[in-house]
Amino acid sequence: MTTILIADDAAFMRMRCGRMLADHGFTVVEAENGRDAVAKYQEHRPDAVLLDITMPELDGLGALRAIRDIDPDARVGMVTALGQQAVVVEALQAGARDFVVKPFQADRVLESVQKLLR
Amino acid sequence: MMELRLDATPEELPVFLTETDELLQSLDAHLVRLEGEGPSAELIQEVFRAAHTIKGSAGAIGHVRMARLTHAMETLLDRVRHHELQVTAELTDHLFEALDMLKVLAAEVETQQQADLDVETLAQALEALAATDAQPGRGMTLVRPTTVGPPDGATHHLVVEFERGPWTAVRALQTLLAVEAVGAVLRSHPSRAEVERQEVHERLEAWLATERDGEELRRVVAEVPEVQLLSLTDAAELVARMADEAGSTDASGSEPGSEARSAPSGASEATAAGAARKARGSAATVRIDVERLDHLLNLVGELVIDRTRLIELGRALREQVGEHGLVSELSETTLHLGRVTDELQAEVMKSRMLPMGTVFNRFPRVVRDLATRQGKKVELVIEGQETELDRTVIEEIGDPLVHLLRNAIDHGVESPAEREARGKPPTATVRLTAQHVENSIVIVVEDDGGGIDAAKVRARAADRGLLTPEAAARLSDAEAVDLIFQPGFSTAAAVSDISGRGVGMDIVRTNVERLGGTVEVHTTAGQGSRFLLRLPLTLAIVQTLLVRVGANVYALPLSSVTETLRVPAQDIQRMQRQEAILLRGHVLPIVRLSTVFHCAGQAGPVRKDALVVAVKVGERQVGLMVDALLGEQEVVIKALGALIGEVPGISSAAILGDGTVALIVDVPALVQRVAADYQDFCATVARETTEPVLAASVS
Amino acid sequence: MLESRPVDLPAAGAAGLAPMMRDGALRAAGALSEMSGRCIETRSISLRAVPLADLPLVAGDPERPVVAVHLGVQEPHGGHILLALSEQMALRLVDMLLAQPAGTTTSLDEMEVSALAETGNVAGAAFLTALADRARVILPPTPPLVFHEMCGAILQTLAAELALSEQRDAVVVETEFTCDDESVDVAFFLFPAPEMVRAVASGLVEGSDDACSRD
Repeated sequence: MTTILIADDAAFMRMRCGRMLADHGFTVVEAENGRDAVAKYQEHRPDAVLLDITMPELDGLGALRAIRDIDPDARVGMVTALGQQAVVVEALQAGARDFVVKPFQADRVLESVQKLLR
Repeated sequence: MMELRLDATPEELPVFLTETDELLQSLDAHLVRLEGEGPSAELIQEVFRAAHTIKGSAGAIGHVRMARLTHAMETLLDRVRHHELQVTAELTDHLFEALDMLKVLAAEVETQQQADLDVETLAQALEALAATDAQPGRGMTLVRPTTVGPPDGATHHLVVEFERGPWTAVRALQTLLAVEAVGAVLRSHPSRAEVERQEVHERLEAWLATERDGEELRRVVAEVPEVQLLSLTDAAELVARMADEAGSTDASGSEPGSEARSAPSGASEATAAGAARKARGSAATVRIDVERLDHLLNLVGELVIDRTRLIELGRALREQVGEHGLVSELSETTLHLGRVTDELQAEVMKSRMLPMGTVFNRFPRVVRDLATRQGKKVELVIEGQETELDRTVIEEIGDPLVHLLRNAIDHGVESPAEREARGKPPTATVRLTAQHVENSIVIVVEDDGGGIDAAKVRARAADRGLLTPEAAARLSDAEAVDLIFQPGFSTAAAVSDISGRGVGMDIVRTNVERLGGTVEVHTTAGQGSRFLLRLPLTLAIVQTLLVRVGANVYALPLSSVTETLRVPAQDIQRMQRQEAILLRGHVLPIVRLSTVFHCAGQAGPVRKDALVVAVKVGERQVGLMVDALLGEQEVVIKALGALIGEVPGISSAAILGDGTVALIVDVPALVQRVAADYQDFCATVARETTEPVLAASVS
Repeated sequence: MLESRPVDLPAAGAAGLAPMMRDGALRAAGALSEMSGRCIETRSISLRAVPLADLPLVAGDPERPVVAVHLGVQEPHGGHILLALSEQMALRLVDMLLAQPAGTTTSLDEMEVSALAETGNVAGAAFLTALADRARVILPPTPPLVFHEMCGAILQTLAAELALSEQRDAVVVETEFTCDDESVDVAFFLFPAPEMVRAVASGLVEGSDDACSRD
């Protein structure tokens, strides 16, 4: 079973994405901030990760770097409201393989997960 | 003088002139390089091609003598091109002579008069040289490898284009990352660093090294969204094509990033070859008259004014009529109009921008001539030719820069013998760079010559009566060196043959300040000097602070304004004719604009609080007293017009949203006026004040 | 748009902000439209300088209860963003976000608050993107916080915070919206600190090639 880790400080977002991914047959693990995300990654070793950027404790970029430290081949995509070009460039540099800007169409996230899993 | 008879329509001539001028300038640069670096296949090719093109155009308009001379040049260059002749000093000297003559011949087209030139003799001399027996065997000695061309190990050349949008830098990065997954990017333009700084425009091109094949590269690039593959060529094929006379049609041929010199991607092909090639081959550019652009800008300015007016009307209407549906629609449409106008304005402003290269182009020749004449060896390194600047500023900046270069070579650079005695390499380096810094452009002229001796400057300034020896002694070294910008300091009242006008360092500073910029100098005795020019990016649209003086509205360029103050009457000191206040420990001289502009206003002693706008030009600061502050506004500068002519203290005018005319104050000129009295006043205040007087800073 | 009053001038002045603010407001409206599934457009945009003492009044009657989402913008180019809604509007918006019939939501519990927070986050970030991309700087927002109290009190707290950084006036950018062409009680505020104003205004001349908004 394919596991996806989603990290977002908004319960609303976790619910939305989680529900949509579960409906498509994925197992979903949720984290509510960056630190939580890194811990859950260690624990579950998901097949792909979707990270929000603006989160308390540790932000998405920090979590991205930490996760890539643990696992250089980690498949991580960003799903965030922060679409500033400089931020996207930074995320790509840090190893994110995809970048989805909120608000998004539901399929976009699905597409992203599929792309990450390829 | 004989009239010049040509076979062209009046419309064709300006086109001929512009194209030929560009080619001649680039020829200049190439010949200088040829002389300095020695021949390379690509350089010879460029020179040949330029001569060939000029010959064609000259022939087409019936300029017989010009065609004759270029034909002779072509014959000579052809032999060199085929490795049948070596490039000697004699050869380059002849070519330089021919080039100078071509310039005069081109100028004839403008004056329509034949100049007194002996074209035939020079042409025959060139042909005689060409006819010398081929020097057998050695062929072309390449002093340096070709400067444009693939880096070692390149297997493919890639060009991609990005869809217009805010994520071009992201797409560029994704493309680079995608390719790096299957190979290596040896060189790209824009470079990786530029991509990370988001300095990306429409295209990315790169030299790659990979073991995979073209198909796979194509596939990998296709995965990046909003990116279109323009071309993917085998590197070897491309090099072969580039060496052909026909030239390549893709964008790669002339791009910078040359590796051959350790000097940065500079004074090189990008300027001249790129420009010439672009001018001829690319369908993506269009030539446009400067007048037309100015007219466009005027129209945009009118639009901006009308838009502001519409907003005001909308607001007034809303107050009258209330929240009517139509009123909302009006305001929405106005908002949209505003957005479109802003974009339009930005585009027009951008189209007025020219790369610094157009100014820098003539410098290699200037430097070469100066150095040769003085028996010095100078290498000119240029960086940042692609940095863009509004054409009004570009036109004005050339002469000051030439003067600074001249100064560097005349006074800065030592003779080769002196340099060796000092343990320096015999060839001096003069470096000219331009780059964008925030809202300005910074141009640096630096040399590794002998620097400026502060002691000598002090002595000469005292000699010339600019200040007393005691005052000179009190100045710090940096302040002393700054004296070279004082009027009366330099002896260069002689007309310079380069610019045709008398120039001195003071004129350099005045001209730069008139453009709204500053110039400063840093120097280390024995090691060299550095002149730094800071200029605003554009002159045509200016952000201003509007003020009222008497019954009139004046505009102060926001770039010179540092703060606004409300000053209680009792804080204004008065010494002789000059009023001033103490602002945070410094003396700020006060100028009443009502006096300067002769309007009824704050005449007589200040009764209550005075409104003062502090302005700064370079290091000098002055306070301008006004009657009221009206707010900020961005305005399009309109010249005052011939009827009014020059008004001291006013640089131009602008029309505001409600139709009023605001006069734009020439802040540097005003500050200059005050500065003259400033020194004395300073000293007086220092002697007579015992306690600091606080100035209130209230909004 | 810009009230004529003397303002302590940051380097490039507030006037350079106007076109960028328009762009930001349009993007914020776009983001809100997507999240709510309705047609949200900007009704008006204003840019002014307000003395801190008057700040509690910028959203109308200070005693009016509102639901407001607050985002901070991190230093060095700092500032604050508030998305303020009337209580009624907040409930309506939640229904739109959760794709429920109007009137379903009657109280704001955890999920509802989270939905509003996320909306404020997305709208605020969209606005900031317009500025950031033009200014070529990063403007990172802090995680959103939702407040439910008198709008005067919220603004008073904000004013106190701005006073700490020695601002005398606050620059206020305000956008009002329409939803399906009706005016709604939703207001978006940006309070940029002087450093943000400076960075954004100086990006105006240079970075104008990305004027089209990304969809």
